[in-house]
Amino acid sequence: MEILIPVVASGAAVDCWKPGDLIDYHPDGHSWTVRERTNPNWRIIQVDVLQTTLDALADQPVPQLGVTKRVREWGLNLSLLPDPSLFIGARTQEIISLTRKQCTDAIVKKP
Amino acid sequence: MTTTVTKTINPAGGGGGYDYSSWNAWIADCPADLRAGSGTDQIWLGIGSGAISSAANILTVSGILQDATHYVHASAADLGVVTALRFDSANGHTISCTGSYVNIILNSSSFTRFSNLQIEGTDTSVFGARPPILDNVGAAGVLLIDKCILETEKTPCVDIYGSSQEINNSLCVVRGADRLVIANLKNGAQATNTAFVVPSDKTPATTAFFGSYATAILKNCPIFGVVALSTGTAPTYTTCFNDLGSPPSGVTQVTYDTSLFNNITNATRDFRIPIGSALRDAGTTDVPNAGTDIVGKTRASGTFDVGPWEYPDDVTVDVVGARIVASGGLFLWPTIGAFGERDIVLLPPVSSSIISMEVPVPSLPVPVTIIAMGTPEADNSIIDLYPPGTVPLVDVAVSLTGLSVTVGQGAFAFDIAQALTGMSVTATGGVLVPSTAVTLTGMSATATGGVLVPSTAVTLVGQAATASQGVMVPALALAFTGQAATATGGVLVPATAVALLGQAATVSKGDLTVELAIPMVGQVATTGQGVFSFSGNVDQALTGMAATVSGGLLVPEVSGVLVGQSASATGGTMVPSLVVPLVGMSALTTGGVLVPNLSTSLVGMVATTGQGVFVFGVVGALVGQSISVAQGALSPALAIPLVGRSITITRGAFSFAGDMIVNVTGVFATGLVGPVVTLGAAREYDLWVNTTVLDLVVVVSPQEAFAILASTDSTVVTLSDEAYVSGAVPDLVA
Repeated sequence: MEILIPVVASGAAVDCWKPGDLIDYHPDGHSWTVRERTNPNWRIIQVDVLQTTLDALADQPVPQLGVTKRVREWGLNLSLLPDPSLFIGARTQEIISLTRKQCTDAIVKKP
Repeated sequence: MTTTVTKTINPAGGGGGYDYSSWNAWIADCPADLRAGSGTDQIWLGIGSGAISSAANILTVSGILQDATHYVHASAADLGVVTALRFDSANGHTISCTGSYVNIILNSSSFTRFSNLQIEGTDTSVFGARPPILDNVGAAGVLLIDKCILETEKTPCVDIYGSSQEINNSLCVVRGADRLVIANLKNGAQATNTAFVVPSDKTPATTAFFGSYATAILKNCPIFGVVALSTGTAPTYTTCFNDLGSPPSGVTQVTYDTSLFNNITNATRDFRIPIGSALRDAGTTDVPNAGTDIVGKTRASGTFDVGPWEYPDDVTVDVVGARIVASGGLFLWPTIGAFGERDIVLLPPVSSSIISMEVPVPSLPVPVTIIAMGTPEADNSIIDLYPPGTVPLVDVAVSLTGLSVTVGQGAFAFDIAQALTGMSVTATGGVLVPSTAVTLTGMSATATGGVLVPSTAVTLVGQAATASQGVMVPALALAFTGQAATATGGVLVPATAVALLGQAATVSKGDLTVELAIPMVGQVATTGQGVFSFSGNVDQALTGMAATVSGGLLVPEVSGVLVGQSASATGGTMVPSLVVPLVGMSALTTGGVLVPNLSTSLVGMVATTGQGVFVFGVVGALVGQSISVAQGALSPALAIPLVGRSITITRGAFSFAGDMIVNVTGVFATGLVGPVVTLGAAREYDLWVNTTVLDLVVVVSPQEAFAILASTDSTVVTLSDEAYVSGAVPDLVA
């Protein structure tokens, strides 16, 4: 599976997209668009995770009217990944490969 | 200056040349502040296409600073509704979410807009299902949902909150079981020209709306398939419609049926309105919120229709010589013959088509009323009149030169009292009925998928008539020269009372019926599938006529001499009836039934049946006749001796009866079983050929019936002219 995540926040708001949030995912070999492959604020990760993991990463908090704290309930803590430098600054490779354990070890529930 | 940044979204991603593979990628790339001054001064517009299906959240709009003129707008090119107004992946862009406890679209950012989206939530769980669009902005937030189709199985189609949150020109359908509410319209939320419905074959929703705090406002909304209109804070209604008794103020009671919408059952639902709907012109004009309908059509200049779909206005124009080009509608011109006021009525089409019609123009200006009717395809009608008011005038009462009339679907009729020259008439999918009383020269008439009924009373020269699908009924009272009539997939019924020279008639599928009163020379009649018959009125010589049936019924009836006639039925039934001598006639049935009825001598006749039944009755001498059955049954009835006749059966049954003495020699695969082979008083002989190789001679006395039933594929029975050889019959009995 290939997943798309931001490595920087899309804005300053509390409920903007945050680093490690799951934006999108597709099976291996998906034809990502130019913008998805080149946006310096995004990364594409190839990782063999289970669907339940993806479901968790796509999960959202139950909305409370007028109060949205975050886009995703869970996310990847990029500092917990084996080579955090891959997720800082400009992209150095189009797709980053991780093992399932490397990925799941970095998944955290947001406060 | 505000710029609109348009991006494309399609699940094919880069493979299709799009900007994003998903709506979330699109919104995650949106600037954090779209406003002028502090931000990018942009409208962030996404245009979706294709069909997106996912079990996860499709789009979350949050954390973006917007205002009334700088906003996020998720849209599609248009709904692309061409067949039915409902969620349909065949139309436009669709979003289908199968997940449970998933917010399909969650909006937490004020001023966001959604339009032209079809969103479907298929989750059927009681608590897990979420609205297609869940707004979480809060009371002060601004939200606009316009021209969307929102469908769910169980949960409300929309959940909006606040007086600045609106859903307009949209369709909300809940179509699962045990649903409770169609929409949550809370704290002053507004709905204009939006339908809230449950299909008629589904259990009605407990209530249409749930409201809280401030009163929701509904205008021009049809609300059907519910047990009650609302729970919680009751909305205020303006020109809304519902079928419940004792409706509140602003709601009119009307029966929920197909007079209201095109189709209200779940599988085939179509919530466009038909011409006679009680919702038509029953609303309140509200240009700011509903100036255009769900597919972008400008609403009527007068009173709006109720619901998302607007039926088009009647259009009245004065035509002073014009060519009318219309698409999507049908023409009926019932009073073309009279000068004065004329009506052109656009009738319900089966599918969209383009109609081009040049209107013959009288010497005086004629007001023409064009009325769009029927199913909403007609709504797309484009009626151009040109050049406006300046075309040279043509009097319909006199000659028309170069007139071209085309009917795509519907009915077109005209009366013409004088000469037509070079007229071309085509009916693609309707009824075309030109009536001409005088000479037609070079006229061609074509009916592709409808009914074409040209009626001509005088001479036709070089006329060609073709019916591809449908019915064509030209009636001709005078001479035809070089006329060709073809019915490819319908019924062709030319009636001719006078001489036909070189006429060719063809029916590929359908029926062809010609009536002929006088000699036919060189006539060819062919029917591919269907019925071809000509009858009765041919009492003179037919010379060189050929009749062929490929897959239907051919019934030529001739009462005079036939010379050189050939009749062929490939896959149907041919029943030529002949009461006079036939010379050189050949009859062939490849895969059908051939029933020539002959009452006089046949000389040199050949009859063959490939598959099917071949039956003919002969009461006079047959000389040199050859009969063959490949598969099926061949039953000639012979009353006189047969000399030199040959009969071959490959598979099927061959039987005949009459005065004859025949010699039967057969080569059979194996044994011969003769369950009923009786010579003598019974005068009835049946040979049951089973598996025996046999060289058989049968003596048959006059007036005795004789039948051979070949039950194997390879049976060959040959009757030779050694008709008086005897001696083998007792062996058959044994």
